[in-house]
Amino acid sequence: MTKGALFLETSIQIARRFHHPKERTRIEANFKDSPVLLTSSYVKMEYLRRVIGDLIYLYQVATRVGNFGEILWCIQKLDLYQRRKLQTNLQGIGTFFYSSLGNDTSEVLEKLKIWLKQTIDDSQDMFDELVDSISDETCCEKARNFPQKNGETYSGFGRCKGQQKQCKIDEFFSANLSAFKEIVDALKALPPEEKDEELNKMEEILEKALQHPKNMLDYKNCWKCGDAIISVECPAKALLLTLNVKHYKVLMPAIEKKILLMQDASEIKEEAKIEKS
Amino acid sequence: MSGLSFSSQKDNSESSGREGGWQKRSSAQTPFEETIISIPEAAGIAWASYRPEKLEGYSLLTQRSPEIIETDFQPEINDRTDKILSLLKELKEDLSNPVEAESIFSNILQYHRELWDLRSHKEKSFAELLVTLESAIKYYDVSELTLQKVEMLIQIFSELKQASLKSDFPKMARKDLRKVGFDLMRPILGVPEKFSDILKKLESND
Repeated sequence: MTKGALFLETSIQIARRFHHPKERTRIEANFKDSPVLLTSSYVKMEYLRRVIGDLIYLYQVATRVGNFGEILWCIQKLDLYQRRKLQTNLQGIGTFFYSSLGNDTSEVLEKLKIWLKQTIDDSQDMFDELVDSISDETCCEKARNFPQKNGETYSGFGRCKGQQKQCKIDEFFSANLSAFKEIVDALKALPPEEKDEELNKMEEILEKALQHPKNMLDYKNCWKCGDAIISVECPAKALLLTLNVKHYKVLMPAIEKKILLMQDASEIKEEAKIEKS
Repeated sequence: MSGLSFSSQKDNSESSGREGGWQKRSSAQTPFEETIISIPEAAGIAWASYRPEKLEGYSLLTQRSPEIIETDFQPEINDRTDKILSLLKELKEDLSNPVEAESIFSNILQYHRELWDLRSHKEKSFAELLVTLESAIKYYDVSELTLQKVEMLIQIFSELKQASLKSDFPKMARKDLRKVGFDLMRPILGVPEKFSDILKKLESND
């Protein structure tokens, strides 16, 4: 049976590039029978903010230190969450480029800098290559212009504030006011034990924005409502694929849209066998 | 204080417009200055080889200017590249034989390593391309190889034989490698799965 178009959410796009090959196979097994893969510029912004921002940090540290160990020392000073995330990436890349033929860590540092720079430079292409089409209703400026080179290094991800409006998130919000209202109602109706901190914050911000859509021009509001924005961006006829089922199983039905529950690759193979027989 | 100074005001005023580094011999030199100025000559460095304008963009004694690159190191680079290319051609015949393919890959990586050691004699894009190729082939699972992937590797490795690699070539190569299905994100996964499996097996044997 043909599933129709699939709309890929941020967690899926990140996993398809940065997760283990086994996980990628599991995800891509769900694309069977889906003729078109879609996503949006807002998803692209989230992908760049969550993944490429970290790689830029590592690159910036790598360019100013003298050896591999010093980067680890710099990371130690970050908070626990950031530290764990960056250290895992760094150790992975370090182990990969380490060669038993030479124990010189400056060589690992040299390769690390080249590899990070290449991955950062390719980040826009690497996202675009994974889908057939990218919608751009929010006209997210970060999705278009990040990462930005600044000589031999890159500018940080930065913030977005209403004073220097560079996107159309407020217009997108106003144009889809009724959908966002449905989402607020669904969040309100949810029992407190089923709402995490993120959903509580989302409800609070969206409720205020229903009266003042321009509030969404502030990154503090916009980024905290990402899942709701992506739900509204997903075309009515497409199914949304995500690893964050917990949030989307509340948001999507509220606006009469569907999510595709992830299938295990082995289940899909079994299904194919049954179909054949 | 030893009194040995290579760039005193007096030296500069008597130089022939040269900035920094060694000063050119002048007719008004004292015997002491003569001793200092003769050091580069004693070290066998010819004046022409360290003219500031020629050194622009290169660090002295660690990297060479492009014309020296071609004459000194390109044959060595071509030799290693040819060895890799012939191994890749062999690989095309042995795609269905994982044992043979694994051994071919180890040899390719050995020559790749030798090319990496020659990087300081080439332009920046040479080292960049080698890192791209390393992220594509190091720990690559030979069971995932296809004829199309090997053909692409042949095409990209042959470019290393260019006297001067274009600066945008590594980016184009990355795009082509991704297109045929190479996973350039392997470094972020660290030790690949097959090695983790071996480690697990060793641990369970203990």
